[in-house]
Amino acid sequence: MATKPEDGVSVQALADSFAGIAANVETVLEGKSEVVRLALVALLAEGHLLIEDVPGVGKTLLAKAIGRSIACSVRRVQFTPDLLPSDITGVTVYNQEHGDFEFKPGAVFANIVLGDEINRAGPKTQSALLESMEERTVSVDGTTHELGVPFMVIATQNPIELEGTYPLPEAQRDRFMMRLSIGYPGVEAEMEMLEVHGRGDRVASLQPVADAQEIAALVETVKGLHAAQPLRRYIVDLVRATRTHAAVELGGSPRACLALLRASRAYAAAQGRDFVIPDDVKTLVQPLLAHRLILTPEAQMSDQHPADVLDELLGSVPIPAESGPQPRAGT
Amino acid sequence: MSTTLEPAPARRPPSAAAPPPDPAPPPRAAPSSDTPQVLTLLATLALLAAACLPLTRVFVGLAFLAPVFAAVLLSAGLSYGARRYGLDPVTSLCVSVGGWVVFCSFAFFADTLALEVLPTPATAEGAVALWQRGLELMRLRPAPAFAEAGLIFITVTGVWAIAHAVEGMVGRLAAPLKATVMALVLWVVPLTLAPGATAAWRWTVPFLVAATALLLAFAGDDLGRWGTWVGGRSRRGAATLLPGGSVIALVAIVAGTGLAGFLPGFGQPPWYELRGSSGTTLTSNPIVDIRTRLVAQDTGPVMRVRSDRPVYLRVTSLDVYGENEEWTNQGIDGAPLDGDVPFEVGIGPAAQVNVDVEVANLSQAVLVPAPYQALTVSGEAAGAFQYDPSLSTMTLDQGTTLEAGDTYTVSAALPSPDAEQLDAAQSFSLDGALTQLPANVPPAVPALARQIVDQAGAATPFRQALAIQEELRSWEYSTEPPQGHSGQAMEAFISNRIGYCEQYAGTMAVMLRSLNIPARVAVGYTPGELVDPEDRAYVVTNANAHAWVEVLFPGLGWVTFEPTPRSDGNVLVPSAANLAPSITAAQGGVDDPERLIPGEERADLVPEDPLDRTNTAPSPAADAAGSGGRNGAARALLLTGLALLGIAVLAGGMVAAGGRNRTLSPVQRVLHARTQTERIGRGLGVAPAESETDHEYLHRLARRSSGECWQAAGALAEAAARARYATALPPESAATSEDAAERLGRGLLAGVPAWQRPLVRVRGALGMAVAGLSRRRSQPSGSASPAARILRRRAPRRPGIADR
Repeated sequence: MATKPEDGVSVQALADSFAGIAANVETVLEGKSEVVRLALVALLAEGHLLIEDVPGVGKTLLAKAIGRSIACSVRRVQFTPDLLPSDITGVTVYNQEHGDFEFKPGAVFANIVLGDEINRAGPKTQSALLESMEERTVSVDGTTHELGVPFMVIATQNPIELEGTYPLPEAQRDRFMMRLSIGYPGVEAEMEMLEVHGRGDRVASLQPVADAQEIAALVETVKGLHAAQPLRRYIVDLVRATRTHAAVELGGSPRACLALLRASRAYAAAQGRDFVIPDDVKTLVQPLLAHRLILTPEAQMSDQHPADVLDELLGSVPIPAESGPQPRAGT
Repeated sequence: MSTTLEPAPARRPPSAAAPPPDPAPPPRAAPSSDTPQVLTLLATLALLAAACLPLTRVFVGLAFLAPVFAAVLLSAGLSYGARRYGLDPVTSLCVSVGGWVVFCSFAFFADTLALEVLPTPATAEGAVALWQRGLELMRLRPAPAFAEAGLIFITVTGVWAIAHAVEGMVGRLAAPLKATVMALVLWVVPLTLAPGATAAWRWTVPFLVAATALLLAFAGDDLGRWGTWVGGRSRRGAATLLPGGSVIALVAIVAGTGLAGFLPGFGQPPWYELRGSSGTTLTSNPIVDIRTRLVAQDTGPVMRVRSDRPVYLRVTSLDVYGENEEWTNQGIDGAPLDGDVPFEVGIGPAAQVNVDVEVANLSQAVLVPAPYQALTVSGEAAGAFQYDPSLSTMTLDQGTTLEAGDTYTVSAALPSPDAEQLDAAQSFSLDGALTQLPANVPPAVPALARQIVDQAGAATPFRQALAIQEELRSWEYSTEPPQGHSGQAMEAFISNRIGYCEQYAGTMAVMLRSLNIPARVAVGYTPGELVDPEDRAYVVTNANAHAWVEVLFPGLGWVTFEPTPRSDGNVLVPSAANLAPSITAAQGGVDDPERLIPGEERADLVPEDPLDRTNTAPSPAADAAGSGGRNGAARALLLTGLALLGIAVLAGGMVAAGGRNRTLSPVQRVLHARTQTERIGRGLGVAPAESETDHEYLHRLARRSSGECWQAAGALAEAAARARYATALPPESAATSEDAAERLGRGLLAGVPAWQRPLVRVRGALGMAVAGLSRRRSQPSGSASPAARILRRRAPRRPGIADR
């Protein structure tokens, strides 16, 4: 019954793999299963992740744990103000032995790239990620290099400490599929954390439960998942509604639409479902759209936030119940 | 095995005549294996039969039923069979036409068939001739008409075509609603043609019941498709409901039955009168009316008469026998009366009689039964009387009719000259109009007349008339004759020598005219039964309706002749000895005239010249009939509207109601289960928001319930989401979701007192209907919100701090 696209695995197998990876990551990040699941959804949807939260809640830990759980290449880049674009993309150097120029791949040549404190590097350096994040290629000195599959950028940033930081440009933010906040752990989880802390590096001891090929197969499966016409309509209605909302200056882009559909597919598959339902979309709207919206100055003055706008829209955009041609909406 | 669906709940193409081209078309929902095809066929036949019932108003008697019902059965049966055999629509049509040819050949042209089975060129010629004859009869005959072959041929052909179309619409197009409308055409045509009847429910109720049966037995995707049109984008509205539909149908039928009588124009004459080009403006030809009265079931009195002697109560006379082969007249032109009645022609010796009439039930007659020749009228009702001397017809002021209880007294002079006077009188027509006959009178009729008078040796017109009367009185009387009074029928009548008054009188008048004797047919009532010999009281019933012959003897008046050997003997037979008998034939003979008025004594009453018959003032009867016709039009329209409304309400109710139906697909069943739950939820005041998903709504609902409803809500939401958004639905989902919906519904209603539960259901149904309406109008929101809402202060949130 379940769909099994070519080069993919069955949805049930995907859900099992997903649960395995999630459980593995959760051994180091207790009580944050929803965040872990969303992060993995971004992985399966070929998206990139922006983890934004106050210091010390485990942003880097989450990124590292995901990288460790999958047997694939993981590179970590600590973004600093003096980081250069070529440190990220790579550089062509003259090899005296061969008497030839040779490309030295940068940090981006990995399956999972962990960009720590991404807003501490200058816009020039941040922009070095633009091409690789969207097109999954790197062009240096006229040569285009393909990146591997999977490829995922997990960036962290601290929204509180803004001194000496460079806010991400809009184009860069739009390329991140999701923005997640981890939040403080619950009382129990924090107690547990104190208990086990200091008994060795738990991340380092984390064993991979999947490899790059497996992830690539899961990604293929997600791509083939069924999303009914009314559901696609709902996604479009939602994103269009963000553009016309009076409090929003810049709404969701068409890329946001695509991202919402891809992430919804991954989320549905992660639950062992071979079709997408509106609930999937609703769950993903906040992490996917909140960081893309820019509110009008008036709305910002009145202490309104993108999350409020999205809540309002989730409560008002009707769910198309039937297929067939629908009246144009939101224009 | 999983049920394969379209990527989304499929909207069926508007025309399902041709199957979709894909190799594995989805199974047709409509008359599939779920609904027994035979049941659908039976419902279709019932609908057609109900649609044919009003034809009983167009035809006299029930002779038409056999061929019409046979046509319905054969046509629908052939169409059904052809479809079951897998023939395409065109071939099926050919089969049907072939069936029609065979059926009509056997039914109408059996004598032209070669080897008694094969149609010959003569059959085709006969068919063309009969068709033309039928068209001619439609033009000529008033309704109700006798079931003559031409009329039946046309009726059968029309019914055949409609039956084929209706069966095709039900079976092939899966469109019972359209089929019902088609049958409605068949149903309504007779109602617009035939004279008014008081009990419209007789025709309405069977039709509505049959239409209901078809729609309910069918309940296919015609309704579902229709539901998606009216129900907006919601698939939820597409479900159909057997119980709900039945209840609404019952309401429609009861309303149709109960309210029809209150409609303006109810019971009035029909909208369009299918009748001849000539003459009388009566809504039904009096002469045809006789037949219906003679066989009427109502045997109650129509009049109570007190009279010194038995008299014929004449209603009117028919003095035109045209090519349309029936006796009629040029219209009745009344003029107000003030006591004295003008004479049509001068009369000679006459017997005077006073007749008191009390109307019991003349069903709103516009003509006054009175003896000929009336002298004066008086009494309570007489104020409204008018008189047309050209036909010696007493009529009423426009707008008035004779109602039960009306009384009037007529003083009359019955022409009773003696034989010598009559022998001496030269009977001739003043202007030739009274001896006019069309060219198409069967030659056998004048030949027989000549033969009779020759055998009797009758020389004078009076003797000739007596001879013909005596000959005809030796024939047989029957109210169930083979045919009516057309040329063919007259020919049949003089060879069969069996018939009733209308045929006797009509034929005798034609015979007399063929002998150049001015004659006409008088219509009215025989004296009736003498119920009180002391008081000389007679009771006249419908069975006393009668037609007889009047012969004009200038100077002596119109003299009555009686050719009909009525089985009840309630006739006054004139003889050479007594032209105004005062005892009926049943009482055993004739007696001498009493109180003869000498001709000279009455001389002052006798005008010298016949009245000018060209003076034609507007006829009150004509006007009455005309206005009645307009009312009839309104009535027919209203009745049609009512029937259509009933069907619309029924269909709409079935669409809106929703309910478990075995013809629903698994997807529809799941969504229907979801809708059922929503109805209960709405009844409890928990309506789903437009932006709410199934999971969100059902879980919100489950919070209201008691017991283990979370699981049920989850199962139902899961199934509903799968039905809406998945590519495939596990076959067990339908049953699972129905079960979950039932558990959830029970849990929801558990906390409600039993007496409030019906209220909850009613409120839920209303809520669903209102939601369905508003859903159609609403546009998806997401447009700019009012500034006030944007600027509304919300609870401050700290950016970035996790609150998820």
